[in-house]
Amino acid sequence: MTEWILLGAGLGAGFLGAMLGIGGGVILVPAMVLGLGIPLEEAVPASLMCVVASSCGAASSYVEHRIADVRLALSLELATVAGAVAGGFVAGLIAPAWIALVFGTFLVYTSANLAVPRAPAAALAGGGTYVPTNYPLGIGGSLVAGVLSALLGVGGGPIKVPLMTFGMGVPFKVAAATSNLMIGITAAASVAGYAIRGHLNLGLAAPLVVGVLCGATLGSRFMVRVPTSFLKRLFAVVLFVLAVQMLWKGGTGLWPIR
Amino acid sequence: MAVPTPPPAPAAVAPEAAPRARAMEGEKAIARVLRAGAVLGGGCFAASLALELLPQSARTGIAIDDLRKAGASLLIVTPVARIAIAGALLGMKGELRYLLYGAAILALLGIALGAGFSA
Repeated sequence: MTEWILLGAGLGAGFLGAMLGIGGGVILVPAMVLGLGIPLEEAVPASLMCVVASSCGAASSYVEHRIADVRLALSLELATVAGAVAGGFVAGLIAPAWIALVFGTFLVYTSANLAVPRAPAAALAGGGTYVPTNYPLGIGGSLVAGVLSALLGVGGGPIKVPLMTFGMGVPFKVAAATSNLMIGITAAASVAGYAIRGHLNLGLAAPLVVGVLCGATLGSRFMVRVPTSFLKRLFAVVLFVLAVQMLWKGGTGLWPIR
Repeated sequence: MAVPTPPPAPAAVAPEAAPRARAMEGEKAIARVLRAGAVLGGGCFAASLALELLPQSARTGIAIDDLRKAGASLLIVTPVARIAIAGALLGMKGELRYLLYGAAILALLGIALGAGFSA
């Protein structure tokens, strides 16, 4: 029964993650910890394994149809990985609770921005291309995303999709697809670290990965058909859920519940 | 007697045009690598789940474990291969900075793993 629940959770997380360019951890980790009582130290590496699977499954379709920007992904990935390595060095120096509170507040702001309907940007001609702008902002933001991923264990999608969309002039669907491509390598590195230390529960990961791959395949097909405005609002909801998780994490870190 | 005219049909809503990223040669190769990793890795995990339905024995247990390790390894290696291939393809087309970016990413990841960090 548990395996069927995990399969279903993976299916939902993979579907949502593929459409929005996030890893699905925002769904999977609470589902495993709160729903199934799985210890956090097992849930996190299993969730990271699912992020890799989701990225591989969805990004193959996005790259093939030229929705994911391979060049932009390489540029931003370098900054993200550099930030993550730097974050790993300073992890012991900064209280994660304060970082979580600030990040949670930022996510609330970003979520509100995405939820507010805006006048649609000048429509690209069918099959038209765009040119990313403001690379310094993109690289700086990706550096911060990498540091946050090392300090808080969050994926890059919730930061990078709004960063590319609002800051770099990248269409939302391209941003989501490119984020989907990028999260695979950072999650792969993290899960490799857990696996080397013997903290990856493959029995837990197996049904999750199968579900995620099926969900990601479906999600990548749906994403191109769904209106951008709907995707943005859905992303706003997910960001808000993540914001609540971060604010809770920060709050209980600073004022532990006895 | 005047024949009532039917109301005009609502204008068909044109599907939203999907924006496209800048073209690069080798996209299909990158997509195939990602798809192969996903299918093979996922296939190993799915096979391990199928084996769990069989009567359990020591051999079955070992096979399940080996399949899961193979699946995890394939999935972890796939994004690494993607970066290497993308950087190499763009480098061969004269876009050397992407070759350097790819090499730098892989070097940083190696450092992170060696130092025991999670990227």
